[in-house]
Amino acid sequence: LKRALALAVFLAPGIARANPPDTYGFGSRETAMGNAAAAETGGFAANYYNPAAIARSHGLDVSAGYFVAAHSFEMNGRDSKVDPVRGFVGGLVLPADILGQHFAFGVAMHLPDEQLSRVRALKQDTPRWELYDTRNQRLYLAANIGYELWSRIWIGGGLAFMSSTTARLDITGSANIFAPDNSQLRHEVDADLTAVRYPQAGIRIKLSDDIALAAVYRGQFKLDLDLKARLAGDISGLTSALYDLESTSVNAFVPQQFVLGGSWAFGKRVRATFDWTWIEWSAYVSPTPRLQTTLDVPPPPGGWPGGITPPTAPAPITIVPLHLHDRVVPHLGLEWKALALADHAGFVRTGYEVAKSPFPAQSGVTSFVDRDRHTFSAGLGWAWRGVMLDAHVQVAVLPDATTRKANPADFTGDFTAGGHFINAGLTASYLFGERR
Amino acid sequence: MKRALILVLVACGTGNADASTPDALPGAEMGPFRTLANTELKGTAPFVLQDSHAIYTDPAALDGGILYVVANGAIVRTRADDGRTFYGNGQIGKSPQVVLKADRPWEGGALAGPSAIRRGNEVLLFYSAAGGIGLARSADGLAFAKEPGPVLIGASPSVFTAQDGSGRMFYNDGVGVSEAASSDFVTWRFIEPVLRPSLQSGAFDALGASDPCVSTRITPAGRFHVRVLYTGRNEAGATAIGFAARYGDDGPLERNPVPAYTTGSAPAYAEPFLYVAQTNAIAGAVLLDTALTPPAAAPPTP
Repeated sequence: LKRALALAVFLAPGIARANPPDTYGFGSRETAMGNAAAAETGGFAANYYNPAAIARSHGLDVSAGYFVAAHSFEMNGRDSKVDPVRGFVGGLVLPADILGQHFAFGVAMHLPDEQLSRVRALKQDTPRWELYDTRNQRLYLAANIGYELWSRIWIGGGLAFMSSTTARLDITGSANIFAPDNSQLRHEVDADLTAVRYPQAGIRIKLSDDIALAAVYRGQFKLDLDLKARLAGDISGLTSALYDLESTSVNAFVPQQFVLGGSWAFGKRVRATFDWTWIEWSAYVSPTPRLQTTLDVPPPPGGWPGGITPPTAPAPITIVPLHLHDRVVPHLGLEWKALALADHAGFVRTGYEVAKSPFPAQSGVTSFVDRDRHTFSAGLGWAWRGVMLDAHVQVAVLPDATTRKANPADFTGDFTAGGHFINAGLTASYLFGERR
Repeated sequence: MKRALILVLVACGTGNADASTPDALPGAEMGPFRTLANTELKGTAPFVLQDSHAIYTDPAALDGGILYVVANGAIVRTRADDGRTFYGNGQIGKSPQVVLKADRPWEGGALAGPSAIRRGNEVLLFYSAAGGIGLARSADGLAFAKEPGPVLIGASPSVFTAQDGSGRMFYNDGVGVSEAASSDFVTWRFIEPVLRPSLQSGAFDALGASDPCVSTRITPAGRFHVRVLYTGRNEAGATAIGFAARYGDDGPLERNPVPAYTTGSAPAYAEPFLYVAQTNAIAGAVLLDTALTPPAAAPPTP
């Protein structure tokens, strides 16, 4: 029964990886340690880094925090105006012992205080910071179950929900091309947000009091944006017109990921961690909308009046495949217990990660702008009995690089792009028990 | 120093400072363009030069908001401080000043296709006439002195300065666009054809590629970028403005299959404005993402 239950939990559908934590981390302690946390995380942050680790909590574990990530990205020396990402992070872990087995239930969320979700469908040749602009403007919500399989092995999995958008716009009426103000048009809008679920699972193995290893799998997901529009009506009494447009695009795509992590304690005060994250970027789906249009404007019985040219249907778009490269992202973290008193403990943390851009050189029609990213982080922590206060600062540098277009008649042309972002935040936690 | 010189001597002039691109996106500044709106003009959009006294065609831009235009077989000069509010546009009794007429036997009674650039303290005005391409020089851009005969056989010239300081000219050769070179901007020699009709069914330039308008820049990657707007003509005879370009001083032009502007002919460019001949007047357009301030209150003096 014990193993069957464990297997069921391990294979449970769900997820947990959304875009803001991928880029900025989740929780101040783990962010300060370079997101090298699969084997060392705990509490609410484990809902993102490793759902198995929520079962390390043996008491109610509540956390709340706030972070702000401000971008400074440029193209050709001009600010790209990538919006900041900021908002509340928090969650809780509720442990329970059932039939002598230790479980824990965890929920966590990132709640932006400006945009819960943003959708944009750009032309494929429009330059954009693909991994930083729209993708990170969204709500993240995860719920997981963790289970202590043996005293040294934890497993877990979870559920999360994101939403796809389906919308329909109907415009009917009469258009007067000689006197536009006399046109009478009616419109109806019907939009749905459809839930999407994604899988995630993890395992943590404690080899000794000083060493732990972890493995985490995160499934891919994509958020679709489907729009339908219909324009039908009469044109100045001359003829009728029908225009159907159906646009299908992927508003956000996160590829599947596999993480191996480790944690080593050197003596009583220093702990080093690493994560090795493989990301299947090659499965990335272009966000360029796929359009299907139908335009039917029959000529009037006497032909078109002089000076009036009937509209033609937009030319079909050939979507250029992106051919992203799979990447391995190493994360390194270090935590020093700088202060160790009877009731108090103080921590100093630092971390580093390097993420090579998965995008190939954008020398063709598309201009999906990205650069290699070096992320440095640091933070402080203070613990007093069950209270923990953690702070972090993260600086990510994307060095300038120049994109050279193969066709000199490209409308975008050569461009130089680069920049940085700074992320700072605080997290407060209270643990009514202990973490193992 | 050479780079600064090249930027000053672009054939179609440089721009006016009252426009901005809110999205701050990189671009080759060669389109796509959008038609000027009624709220962005003093006259009737998209026309920036139109009156009842003349049929205006073949615009050529110089820096400082100066435009040379063909009217009634002569070349006239007009000016707009904001790039849009040109002297003579719809003003009763006010017409742009004639600066060049056809008064030589080889010119055949009418001038066309001007192209103006500054070189040193002079304005060089190249033009088309019956016997070929002529050249006139001026110290002030108003009073010109002609060279005695045509400097090249062809039409619709557009001239720029190459990286090595020599003069280069793109011009109509009867089939498409060819290139010529000169060390003194007076004596020209043919180099090679650089642009031909695409001959692709359905393409906007399937049967015609003419009227080049060239401007140059150094790209952010440090490459010398020769950019050409031209008139494309499709199988139905409709015209649109195309964009072709190359890197470096020599070689054929590569084209963008998407037109930069979907109507008009004989393009002239002065960042961020595109001027084209359209229904007997000069129409204006700007880059798609450009936001314009309101037009100037009144045109400047000529």
